[in-house]
Amino acid sequence: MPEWYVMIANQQIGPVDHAKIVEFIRLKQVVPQTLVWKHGMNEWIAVGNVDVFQSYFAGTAQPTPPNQAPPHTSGHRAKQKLAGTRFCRNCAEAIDERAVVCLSCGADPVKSNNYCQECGSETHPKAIICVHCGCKLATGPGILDQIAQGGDYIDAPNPPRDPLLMALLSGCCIFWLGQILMGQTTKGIVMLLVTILSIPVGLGIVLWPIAAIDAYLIGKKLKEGKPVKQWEFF
Amino acid sequence: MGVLLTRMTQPRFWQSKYPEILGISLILAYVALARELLPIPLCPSVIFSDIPCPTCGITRSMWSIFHGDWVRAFHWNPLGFLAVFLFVRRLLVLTMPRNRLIEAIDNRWVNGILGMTFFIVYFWMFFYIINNYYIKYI
Repeated sequence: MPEWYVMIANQQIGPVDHAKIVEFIRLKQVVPQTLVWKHGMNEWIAVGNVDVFQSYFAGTAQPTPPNQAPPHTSGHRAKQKLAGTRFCRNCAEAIDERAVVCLSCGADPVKSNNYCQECGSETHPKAIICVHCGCKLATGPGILDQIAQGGDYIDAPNPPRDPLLMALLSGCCIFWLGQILMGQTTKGIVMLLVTILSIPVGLGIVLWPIAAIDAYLIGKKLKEGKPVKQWEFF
Repeated sequence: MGVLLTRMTQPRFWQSKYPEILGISLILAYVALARELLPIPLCPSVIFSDIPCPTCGITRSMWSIFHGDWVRAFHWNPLGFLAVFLFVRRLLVLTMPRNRLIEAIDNRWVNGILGMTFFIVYFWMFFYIINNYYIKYI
């Protein structure tokens, strides 16, 4: 019968049954210090201290004594950060620094507050600075939230277009063509009409280099994997 | 053919690499194989005000490059050389797996030099037009 609740990576999982916890122990997702709870218990306790599970930890680390805090709540577990990576703030797995979703836990890597994104150490939920490495903790809505709230982000082409080629096409016979090809269709068509209509009165000439520079910078943003809005310039 | 038309109705198709490959192939085939270019100005600037834009002449320049007249190509528009390189490079990047050749022509240094060259020549043409057409036109 599913009756147990497990705390893995500061996230409550459950209710799960006895066999599921045994499976977690076998996969080493649950260690003796992992906290569990079920109806009838006054507080969460380390799974290593639960009689029915103690036999499954034979040959592994000793359970934590009840009067001692589990090691993972004591804080420091700084990791080596590789270039171009950071740690997920939800599960402390190393991920690409541009990733919008952690491939290990599926969460938004900056939305949670469990670990430092720079050193992987555990952090206090209300901390704004990591006390182990001193860096500012990444907070606030992640890119997925921004996309969900902002709404007007473009569906970028895949693979991303060449920024220089887009600049050439935007400064070319059909002005703002690069922006249209990169997904900023509305902006491209409106600006093309504005440019064409303002050529006879002499203003269109100012918009030619703007179109080329804008296409180059928008193309670079898309190539770096950043989200771009429909009416975003430069 | 039917499959192609069905795919073309899906928005995802236009976000993929295939229309880009098709477009670049058609442009390169046109400038490389055409005996003469169409005598119709495509640039809205020329159509509406008789003033060329900084990239006017690129098609003629690319046509001249493919027909061996490189000096005339330079006189039509120096950006023609850049355009041919960018079109060919993009076609290779999209159709071939990443190899040494592509690594050599598509990296940060090459892109930086090409970007600087493009904007320097572009603004050179831009101010040339202002001096030789726009001020006279006013």
